[in-house]
Formats: sequence, C-alpha cells, structure tokens
Amino acid sequence: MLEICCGSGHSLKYHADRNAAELWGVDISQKQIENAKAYLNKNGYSARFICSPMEADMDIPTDYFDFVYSIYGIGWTTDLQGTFKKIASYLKKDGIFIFSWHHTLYYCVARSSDMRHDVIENNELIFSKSYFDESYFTMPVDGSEIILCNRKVSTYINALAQAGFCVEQMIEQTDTETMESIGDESNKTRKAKMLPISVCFKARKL
Amino acid sequence: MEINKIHNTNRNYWNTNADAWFGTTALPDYGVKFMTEDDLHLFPRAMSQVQECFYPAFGECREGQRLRSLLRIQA
Repeated sequence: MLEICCGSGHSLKYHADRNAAELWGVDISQKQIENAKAYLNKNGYSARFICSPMEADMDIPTDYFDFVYSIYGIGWTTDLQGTFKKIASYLKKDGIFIFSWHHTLYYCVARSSDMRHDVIENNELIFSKSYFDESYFTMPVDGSEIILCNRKVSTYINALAQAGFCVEQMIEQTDTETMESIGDESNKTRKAKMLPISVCFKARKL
Repeated sequence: MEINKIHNTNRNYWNTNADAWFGTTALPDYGVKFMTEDDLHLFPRAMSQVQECFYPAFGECREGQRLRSLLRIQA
C-alpha cells in the first residue's frame, strides 16, 4: 500500500502491525521522511520513501497497489484533479483509495484563519467565508505560515469521478465521545457537535 | 498564487515543524473529533489475508466468502 503525505510514518506502522505486504510513503518534507524512516526502523519495519509533492511525476509503479491512502494530506495538493489521476494510475483495478481532510465547511464556518482557532459568538456558528471561494489563503501557524485552500464537496466528488473512481463511502461523523460529552465547552467541541470537523472518502478504482 | 511558492512555503513549514507533529493525526485516527478506523473499518482487518483474495472482490468469489467467514471467526 502507498501513503500520500506519510508524515512521521505512524499510519504506515499501523498497517505494518497488521501485516501489510509492502509499504510506500510519499511526503513533500525531507524531515518528515527522515522521521518516518527512523520510526519504522525503530519498530523493525521498513518502507520505500519518496520526497516529492504529490502532484509531481514520481517513480511509483502503476497498476500496482491494492490501497492508496492519505490521512489529512490530500488538501495540501495544488492540483486535486491531477493528484487523483495519478493515484488512480498507481492502483490496480478495483484498488481502494481512502483519504481524510478538513470538512468542506471547516474553513467557512466559525473559523478564523488569521487567528487559527474556532470562533463561536452567542452560541452561534457564524458562516464567515464563502463556500464557493476556493482561492489560496495564507495562515500563520507556530510563528511560521502555510498556504491552503478550501474545496467544495462537489470538487472532490467530481475530481474522483473524472479520475475513474467510484465513491463507496463518504463519512462526515463526529466521534461518539465528543457527541455525548458533557461539560467540555471548548469551541472545538461545540463546533464538532453541530458540524463535522473532518470528512473521509473511500473510493474504488473502476 | 504561484505553485512553487505554495510548495516552498508548505515544505518549509513541515521541515521546521515535523517534530512538533510527530505521531499526530495518524491511523486509527482520521481526524480531530472524528470516527476512527476502529469504528469505520474502511481497511480490511487482516491484511495478510488480502493477498489470498483481494478485498474489493468480497462476496464475488469463493475465496472472498472464505475470507469473510475467517474474519467472522476472528471477530
């Protein structure tokens, strides 16, 4: 299986623990790949790593993988359609693509990108950014900055369809613990009770 | 916005802050305050058996039925 944006390698280890036959990881950050390599080695596993933006041409075999997945990574792409097409090419027929990212309403509702936190006024979630706005924005994080864009749900669905995928499942469900929590009145929890924070897709290559 | 600028900015961020995010948002978690793989089972539970019968063929071949009954026994 292949992970796009493998980060520190913890999801690869999760699959290694469950007897995945072969592990590949892609990440744009050399430091992340060093961390992932060290973490897997420490646990007695190994993987093939490629340091590259996911949109780029990479030395990855086509019609090869049973699974390609990405945990909170796909949203970093600057070319969603191109990335999905590449991922489809890596998969065997009927291969599975699973990815999660911020929910498509995440940056539109009760969220300040400037201050990077959730904002709830008078117990109301304010819709503060146009859902149609898919332009890039810069966000300060940890004294540095990142550049992202928000994408509509139709953008994901249509890009998957164009790339030759059939969506088997789309999940937008806050976890039970949060839904049933009493007393935790953080803005994140209050928001998560009314709106999914993340979204997850499972698609099959046709 | 220029793609190189986006890549450079985000790459720099991750190269600088990789350690701070070590192990964050990884399976079985799919995201913050979200259902986990333990709830959703989007991946097959016993990956070693996938090689015997490719997962999406579940229910379509005899091996798939055998795999399903194996998983049922394990559960």
